[in-house]
Amino acid sequence: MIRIHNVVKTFDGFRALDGLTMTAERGSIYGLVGPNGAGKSTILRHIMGIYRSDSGSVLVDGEPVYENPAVKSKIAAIPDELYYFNSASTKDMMRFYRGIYPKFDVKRYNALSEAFPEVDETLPIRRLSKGMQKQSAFRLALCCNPEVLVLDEPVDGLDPVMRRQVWTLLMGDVAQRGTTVLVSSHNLRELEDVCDHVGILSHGKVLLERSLTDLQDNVVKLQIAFADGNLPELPKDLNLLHTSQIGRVFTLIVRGSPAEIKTRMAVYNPILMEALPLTLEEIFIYELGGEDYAVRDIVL
Amino acid sequence: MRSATLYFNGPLYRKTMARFWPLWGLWGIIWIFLLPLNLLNTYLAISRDLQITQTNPLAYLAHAQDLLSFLASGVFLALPFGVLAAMAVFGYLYNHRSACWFHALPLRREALFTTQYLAGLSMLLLPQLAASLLTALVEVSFLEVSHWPKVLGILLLFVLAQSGVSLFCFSFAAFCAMFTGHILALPVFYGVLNFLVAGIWYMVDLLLREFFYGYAGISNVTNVIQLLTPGVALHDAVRVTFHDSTSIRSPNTLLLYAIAGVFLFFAALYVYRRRHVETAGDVVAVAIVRPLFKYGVTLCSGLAFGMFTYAFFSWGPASSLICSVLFWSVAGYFVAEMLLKKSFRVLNAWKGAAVTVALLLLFCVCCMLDVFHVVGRVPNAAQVTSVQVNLELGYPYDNGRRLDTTFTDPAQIERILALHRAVVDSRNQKAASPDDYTSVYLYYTLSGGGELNRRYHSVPICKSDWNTPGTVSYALRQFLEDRELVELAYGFDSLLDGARLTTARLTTLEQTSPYGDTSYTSFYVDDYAQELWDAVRADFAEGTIGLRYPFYLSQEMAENTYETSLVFGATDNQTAARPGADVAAAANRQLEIYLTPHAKRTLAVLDKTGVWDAGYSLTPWEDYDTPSTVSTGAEGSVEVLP
Repeated sequence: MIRIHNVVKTFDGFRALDGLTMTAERGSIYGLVGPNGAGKSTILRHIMGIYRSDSGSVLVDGEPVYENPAVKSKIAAIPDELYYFNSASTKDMMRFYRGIYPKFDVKRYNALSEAFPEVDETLPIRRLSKGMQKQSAFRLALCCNPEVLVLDEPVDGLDPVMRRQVWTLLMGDVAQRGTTVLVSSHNLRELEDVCDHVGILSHGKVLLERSLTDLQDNVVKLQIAFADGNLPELPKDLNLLHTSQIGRVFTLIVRGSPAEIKTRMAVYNPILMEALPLTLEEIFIYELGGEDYAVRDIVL
Repeated sequence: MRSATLYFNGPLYRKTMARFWPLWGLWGIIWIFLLPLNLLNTYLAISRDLQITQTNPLAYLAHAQDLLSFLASGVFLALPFGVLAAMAVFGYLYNHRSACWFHALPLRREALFTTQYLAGLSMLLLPQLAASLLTALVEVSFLEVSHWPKVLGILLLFVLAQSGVSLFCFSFAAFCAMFTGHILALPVFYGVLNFLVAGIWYMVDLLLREFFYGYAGISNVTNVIQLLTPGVALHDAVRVTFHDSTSIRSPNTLLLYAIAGVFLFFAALYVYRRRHVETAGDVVAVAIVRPLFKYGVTLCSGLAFGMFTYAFFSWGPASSLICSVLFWSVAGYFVAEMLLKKSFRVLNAWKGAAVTVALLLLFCVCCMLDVFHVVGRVPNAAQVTSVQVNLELGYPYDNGRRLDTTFTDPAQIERILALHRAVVDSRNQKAASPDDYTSVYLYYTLSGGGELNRRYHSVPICKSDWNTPGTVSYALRQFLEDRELVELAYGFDSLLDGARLTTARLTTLEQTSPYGDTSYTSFYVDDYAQELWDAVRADFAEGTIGLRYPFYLSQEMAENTYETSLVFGATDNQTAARPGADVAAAANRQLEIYLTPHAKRTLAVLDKTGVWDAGYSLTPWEDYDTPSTVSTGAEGSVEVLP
C-alpha cells in the first residue's frame, strides 16, 4: 500500500532523511517511533505529498504521491500542528472539504457529532481548546473516508475517554474499510495497544521494521541468578543489548528467540532463569541504545 | 473527479474570496467614491446650477471626459493594493503550518497557484469593474444619447487601462511572493524591485561621477531606466492628453506592462512549481536566488549607505568614498547573511565578505587609476562629427555668460578638443590655488554613431597661465577673444529669429534721494528699444560692449563695466499675432547685456530717453573695491574717475 524506497531529504545541508525505506500494508496500523529529530514528521509530510524528496520514491498504491491529486485525495492527515482558515468553524471547514475531497461523507459528519458531542461545530476552531481542536480534526479527517490516514501525535491533548473514543473509531475504520493508518507518537504504551506494525527511526533511517509480535519475539528480557552471585563470561556471539544487576539477580536484554537463548544460558546452571516479554518502550530504548541514544546516568 | 481539475479549484477560489472580503471591499469602496459617486455628486451640483443659472449642459460631457485623469490615482492605489492582494492570497506560503496544510490538499501546484492568483486578481478587477458599471449608469442617466458613445468609449479606455495597471501590479507582487517565505519580506521586495533599476542606476551614476572626473553619465538610456521602473513608467503613461480627443499619453507602455503582467504570471507559476514548502519563514525561498540576494544587498548597501555617509560627512578624497563604500558593503553582506541564515552568528562567513571586499576594492582602485580610460579619454578630431558645447565665458553675468552651441566646423572642433585636453590634463592640479573657475559641458557625436559626454564643473583657471599654451586658461582665452563666438553666446540673432523686439529695460539704475539714501531700480525705455538694439549691435561690432572677463575681481572688468544692464525683450511672431494680444506684455524672450563706459552709441541713445533727467544714474561695479567712482553727466555722458 505505502512503499517508501531510499528517500533522501536534506534541509540546508542537514540530512533529515538518509535513504529511508519502509512499507506499510493495506489495512494495517503502522506505528512510527523514534527519537526527536529522527525524521518522523518529515517522512509523514512526504507521504502526505507536501515535501518533495531529493531522491527515492514515495508510492501509495503504486503511484507517487507528490503532485498527484488522485492519490492525495485518498489521504487524510492530522498533523502535529493543526491549521484551519482564520475564523473558520468546523462546519465551515466541512463545507470546504466537501468541495475538495471527492469521497467526503456529509452523513458521516453528522453521525460523528455523537462521537464528539462537546465540540461546537459553529464556533471558530481557533477558539476551541487544544483537545477540542483535535476532536474537530478527527471528525473532519474521518469524514473524508480516506484510504490512508496519516497521524502525527494524534491523541496529544485528548483526555483518556476521548483517546479511547478516537482509537475505537480508527480501529473500526481499519477493520471495516481497510484504512491504512500511519501514526507517529512518543506514547509507546498506547501504540503498543493499537499498532500491528512498528518502524523505529533513527537519524533519518528505519532501524527496524516488523510486526509488533515479531519485534517482541525477537528480543527477550532474561532475569537470571547464579550460585556464586557472579555473571559468568557469556559467549561472544550472544547479541547482548543491555545488562543490569539488582542484588544477585542479573537482567539481560538479548536479541534472539527466547527459547534458544534460554537453552544457551542453561549450560551455566543458573539458580534462577526467567524470560519476560519486552514492552515496546523497552524495545525502543534498548534498540536505540545501540545507536548511541540511551538514557545517560548524569549526576548533577 | 473534481480534485483532479488541473488549473482551477472552485471551492478554494470561493473560500479565498470570502476570507479576504475586507480587502476587495475596501478597494471597491475607494473606486465607487472615486468614480460613480464623485461623478454623481458633480452632476447633481450641475443640475442645481442649471435650474438657477442655465449653465451649459455640455459641462456634463466635460466631466465625463475628465474620467481618465483618475488613472494617475489608479496607479498610485494599485501599487500598494497589488501587493496587499498578493500578501492575502499567497500568505499561506509564509507559515509552515498553513503551507503544509495547503500542499496536503489534493490539488496540483498549478491548480493551487492559479486559483489563488485568479482570486487575488479578481479582488482588484471585479470591484473596479463594478465601479465602472455604476459610473456608466450615472453617465447614461445624465447625458444625452448622442454623447453616450463618446463617454462610454472613454470609460472603456479607463477600464482597460486601469485593468492593465492592476494586472501588472498584482502579477509583479505575485512574482515577488514566490521568491520569499516571509510575509514582511514580500512588500519590501516588491517596493525595492519596483524602483531597483532607477535606484541602482542613480547610485552607480553618482559613484562614477565621484570616481571619474568629468563623467556625465549615459544619457541615452534614461527612457529604458524609466521603462524598467514600473511606478514611474505607469504614472507617466497614464497622463491625460488632449489633442483631437481625450486620451492617455502612452497606451503602448500600458499594453507592454499588461503583457509583462501575463508573462510574470507564468514566471511566478514556474517558480512556484519548483519552490519547496519547507522554505516557509525564509527571507529568500528559492535557493538559486540566495546568492543574488546576498550580493544584491551587499551592492545596494555599499552604494546607498556608502554614498550617503560620504555626502553626510562631506569627505573630500575618493579614498574616503572607497572606505565608506567598502564598510557598508561588508555590513550589507553580513546583514544579508543574517537574513538568509536567520541568525546573528554569521561571522564565520568572513571569507565571502573578504572576497567581496577584495573585488570591490580592486574595482574602486581601478576606477581611481582610470584603468578603464574614462577620465583621460579625449576623442581624436577625426572621430568627432559634431560637438555640443556649453562653456562658461567668464563675466559679467549677462547673456554672454554661457556659450551654448553645436560645432561641426573642424577648426572649432579642434579648439574644443584642445580645451578638453587641457581640462583633462589639469585634473591633478585641482589642489592648487586658482584665480577663478569655469565649467565645460561637452556632448560629442562620434563618427561611428556613438556618443561621448563630459561635464566638468569648477575647472580652475589661473592668471599666470593666460599666455601658456596647453593650459585651460589659454584654451578658454581663445573662446573669450573670439568675438563671433561671444556674439553667438549673447544670441543677438536668435533673439529676433521669428520674433520681434518689443521691450527694453535698464536694470540696477542708481537713484540717490535728497537725504543721501541710495536705491536701485529698473527703468523701461520701450520706445527706444529698436534704437538701442541697433546701437548695441554697432557697439558690439566695434568691441566696446559685450566684452568678456575670465576673472571675477579683475580691475579691467571693474573699470570697463557698469552693474547696470540693458534687457531687451522680444515676442515671438505666433504670440504677437494673437488677436488682442498685448505684444509688449507678452514678451517671452530676452537678452541682457551689461553697459560699458565705452559703448558710446548705446549711451547716446540712453541720453535721449530722459532716464538721467528722472534722477537715475548708471551703477558702477561695486564688487571691485578700488577707489574709483563712476558718474553720469547731465546729458548722460559718462566718465570714469580715478
